[in-house]
Amino acid sequence: MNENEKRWDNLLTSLFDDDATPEALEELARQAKADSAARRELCEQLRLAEALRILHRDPHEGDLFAAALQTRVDATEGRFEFLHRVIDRTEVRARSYVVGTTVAAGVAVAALAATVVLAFVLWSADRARLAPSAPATTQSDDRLPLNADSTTPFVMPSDDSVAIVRRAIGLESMEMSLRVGDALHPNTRVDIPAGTVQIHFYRGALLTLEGPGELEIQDANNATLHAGKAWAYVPPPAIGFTLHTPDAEVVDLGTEFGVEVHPGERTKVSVFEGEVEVYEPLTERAVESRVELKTGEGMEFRPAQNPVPIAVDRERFITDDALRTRQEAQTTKRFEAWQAWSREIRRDPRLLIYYDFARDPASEMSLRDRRTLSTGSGGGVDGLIVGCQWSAGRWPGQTSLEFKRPGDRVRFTLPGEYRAITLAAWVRVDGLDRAHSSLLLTDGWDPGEAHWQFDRWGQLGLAIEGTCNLYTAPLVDLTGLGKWMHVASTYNADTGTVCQYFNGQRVQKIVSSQPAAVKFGAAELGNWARPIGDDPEKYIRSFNGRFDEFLLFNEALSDEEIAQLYSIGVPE
Amino acid sequence: MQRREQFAQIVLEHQARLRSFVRMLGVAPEAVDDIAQDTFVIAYERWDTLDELDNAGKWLRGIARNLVRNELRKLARRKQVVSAAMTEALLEVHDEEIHGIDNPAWLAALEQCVASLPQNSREIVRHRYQHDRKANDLGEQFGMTAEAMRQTLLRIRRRLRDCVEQRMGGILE
Repeated sequence: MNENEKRWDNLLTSLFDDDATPEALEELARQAKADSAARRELCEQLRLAEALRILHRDPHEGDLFAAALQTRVDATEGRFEFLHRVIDRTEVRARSYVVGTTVAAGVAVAALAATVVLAFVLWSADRARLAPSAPATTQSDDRLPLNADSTTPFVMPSDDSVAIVRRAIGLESMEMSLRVGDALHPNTRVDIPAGTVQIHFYRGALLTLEGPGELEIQDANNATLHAGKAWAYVPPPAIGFTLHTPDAEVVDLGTEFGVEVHPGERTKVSVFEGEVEVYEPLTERAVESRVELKTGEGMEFRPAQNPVPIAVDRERFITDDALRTRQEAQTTKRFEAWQAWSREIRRDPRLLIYYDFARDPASEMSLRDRRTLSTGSGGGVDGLIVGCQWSAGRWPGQTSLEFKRPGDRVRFTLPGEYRAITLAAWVRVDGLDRAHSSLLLTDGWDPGEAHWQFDRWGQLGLAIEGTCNLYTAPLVDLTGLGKWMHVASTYNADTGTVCQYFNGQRVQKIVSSQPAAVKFGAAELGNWARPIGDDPEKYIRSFNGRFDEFLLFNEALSDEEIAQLYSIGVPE
Repeated sequence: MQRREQFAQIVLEHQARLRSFVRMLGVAPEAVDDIAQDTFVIAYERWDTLDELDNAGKWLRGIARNLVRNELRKLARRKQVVSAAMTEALLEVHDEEIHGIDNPAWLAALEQCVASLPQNSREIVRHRYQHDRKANDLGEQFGMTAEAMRQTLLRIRRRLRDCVEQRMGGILE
């Protein structure tokens, strides 16, 4: 740093953090007048200083400001109440409940959280207002449809789900398909045009819905069948499981029954085993209307008519065994399609690295780069496995690499600079214990080097030093842990565009104002060869989970190509 | 009445940003709120000069600039600006030169950047801004000379500025 720069720094620090002499101020002014860059820096620093003050002060400072303003405008106007809306305390308190509770232990955001409430309120109010009126441009910030309130990255860890999808067969035609392992929340509709879905309620009941069917999940022990065919298996812990239908309310007292609903016509109830009580709907289970059915008994209920006994035919409902067989067949078919894709993709000339995480018995410590390379083009970019354990992958019979301990990592070296890249991986996140969980981190942080990682709120981040440092809205919440997911990020230096994807859908698109070529050099999957640093909390970025596939292209793939990577690779 | 509702909305959305801007003109910290209040009062009186709500930020800043420019001598006399000469220079800065001035996410990005500072730096920032303390007693607390503390604060602020710029990712509509 030369003399002039040192002098400038001294002037700045005397102004901000000390008592500046009048002479120092004069000189600051002179510099600011003469040099536009100096003026800009002075501005930025002043602005930053005030913003830091706002962040660290009383959260109600904004309220006091608005209240004082109210008094003044009141004086000029003569009367009013409208600013009560401005300082609506309930709004501030409701928001503070979300932000104030911090996210994970050990982060001093807690110190800031309470003081940041108002800033958050104002920010989100701004955001909410800007979103609908923002003009359509080539730049946009798409939000994941599932996470409607994604204006803030600070989410309280919580889970109100009441059931989980155990099997899902033949649901490809649905736009937002259900996946095995998906958690279902109260008051959720499960409508399927075809196929079969089996739902396991947390109280224990197992409900199998055959399409076309319309089901609504009320809570952990209640569901409504609006139309279609379903049977339920109710073990002792779930006794009392109730299936509501238009013509009958069916309360199970143990084991198994089937229901068919033809809306507007009739509801058929058959008991395969055990006992159910059937009540007329909306009578608060009036005893007078109660019908008891036992093993082998069936009844047909029609509106405004007496119920009629019917024969019980178990064959009309698909059995759990048959379901399992169909699920396995479906998975096998998908697996074969994926294998064909894998054989093709390895010949894609845009690929820089392809790890399929298939264990190589010939070399346990080596993660093979599966690309098909022409002779003479040099070898593949194999990875060196340190510490990780081989584990089950997302396809039956296939392997993945598990990262658990702080030392686990895969190291590789990729030379060269690239004007465009795509990073894509199938991963399973078992926990977000660190401030950052590495997906791919270059050893250093030189300009152009790429860092790809989750932060502790489950936001996916792509950082290219000197170009961008972008995070999506949270993608992994409590119900996402332990589930295979597809993440991808693309970057194009010629357009400056950065896109990020989750399970095949684009969730973010931004244009950087400082695009530059990307490079990797020595890098790691699932960890960081950390520089010597004073803050282990920031520098330990070991991933907790499994990697099942990693692709690195030297081109920014399109939305359709990323969607295809997901659809061919999703196991169900 | 629609005017009042819209005005209330504008106050809610812009007050933090406007205060930050007023500070950026070199107004002394103790006087920032007063000037910001004055700006809003003028804004309320001249509400019909605002062409559309989306331009409120720029419009408010124009009012604030004019206010400070016109009152500069009085403000200087009352020591409500740090230095009249410095404020004169700062009044010449254009909106376009101020990164992210109309982007409400700027404050949130700053907050995230502060949260991602190393522990020690975070503590320094907290102590500096929560209680408005000067470099020498901060230095004592953290075992540094006043000079070293001043340098550290400058470094941290620069780092935050870079972090915010990167987090904003360039152009964000």
